[in-house]
Amino acid sequence: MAYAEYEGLPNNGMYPVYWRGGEPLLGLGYGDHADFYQLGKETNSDLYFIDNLPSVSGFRFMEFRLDEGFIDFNYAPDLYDYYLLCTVAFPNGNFLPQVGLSALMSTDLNYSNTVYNPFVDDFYVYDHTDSDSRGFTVFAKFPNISVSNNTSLIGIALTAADNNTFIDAGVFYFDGLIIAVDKSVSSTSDALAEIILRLDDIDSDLVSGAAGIQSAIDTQMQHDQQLWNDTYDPDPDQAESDVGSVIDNYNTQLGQSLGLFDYVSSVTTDFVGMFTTSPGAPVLTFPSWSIVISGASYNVWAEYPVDLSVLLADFSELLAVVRFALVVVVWGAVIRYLWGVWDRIFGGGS
Amino acid sequence: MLNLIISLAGIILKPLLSLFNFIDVPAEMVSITSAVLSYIRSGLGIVNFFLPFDSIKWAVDIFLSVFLIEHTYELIMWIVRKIPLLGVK
Repeated sequence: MAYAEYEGLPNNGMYPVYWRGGEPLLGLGYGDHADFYQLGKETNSDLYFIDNLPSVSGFRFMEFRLDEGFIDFNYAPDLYDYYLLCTVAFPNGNFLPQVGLSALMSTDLNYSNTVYNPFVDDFYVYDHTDSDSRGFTVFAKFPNISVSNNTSLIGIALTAADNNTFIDAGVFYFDGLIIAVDKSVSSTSDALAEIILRLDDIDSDLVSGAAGIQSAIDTQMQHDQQLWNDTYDPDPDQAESDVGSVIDNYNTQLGQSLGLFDYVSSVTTDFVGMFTTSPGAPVLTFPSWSIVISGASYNVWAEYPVDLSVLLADFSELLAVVRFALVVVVWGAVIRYLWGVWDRIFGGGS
Repeated sequence: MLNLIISLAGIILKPLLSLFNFIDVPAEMVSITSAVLSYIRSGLGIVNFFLPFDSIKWAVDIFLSVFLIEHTYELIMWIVRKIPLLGVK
């Protein structure tokens, strides 16, 4: 399925809107008793999707047109019944698929505007929301609208109902058909039944296609965003990491240049660190012993570690006493030292 | 931009680093020191088991502070006494 694309205006604070039209829907054949007219697409000049449109009344968000460049279409309600079949998909979007339909019939600059309620007959909304996308398909029968002249220009606008919100709509997919069914053919009902039967397949096809588009666009946008960030707005964590690695590099070079002095500093830091960090496990390791006879080394006994932590289980009370006594001894020694210092400085040699 | 800053820093720092060229510590000395530090580290684990450092941390801090102040004062006074003009006894 190929797609044409209209790229919306990425205004500040507004979502870029990608309009995507398609080729005639796959899966719908051209029968003897029904003709299919691909609809062109037009954007509403007021079409901006801000982060959240809190409450809109009759917000017309898309419009189809039969126009120049498409199949010549003459509106002849006396000969044909007209049906609109259009699908809108919002991949990853959060949209309440509640719509109205208005038909704008061009008749020598005189427009007849009719708004249809989705809850009346001849207007079907197929909601195919799933975990990846949201969307709906509208299948509506056009009423007979009196026109003063047959024309090849016809517009249909889909209108959101009140209190609908568009959140992170992102990319739209939509496609539309006008189906003209010959009234003189007795199998008209069969044609409509076939159309309805295939709606689900069309829906899933469109939704999966739209999801693919969304994925591709997301990937591209992430790529562009990454390029932008790398060039002008580096990630703080990454920048910190880069600067840190550079500093480490220069520290290494500085250490190599300072040689002995850097080593003394390093050893001192390690030594002090042993007291400021958590000490290791209380493991007493008895060394191994080996003897060499005629050039061959024989291991008399292997290294034997003893973990003193086992004392906690069996001699916890005794250990507590030992610990308390040792702490008292250390504090006593410090107090005695402080007393001595005081006596030396202020005691007058007494 | 970041790469530019880093490059500039490198241009400035490299000549400064090249001014210093002290001798390296012999590998044997490094090995011995590492071994000694590892022994001390193991020993501290055992000492900490019987004499928890958390319990005596303040005592050690106080001792080191007073010791440092006292001997710094003595060092300064020793230098001052060497200056005849000041006449400090």
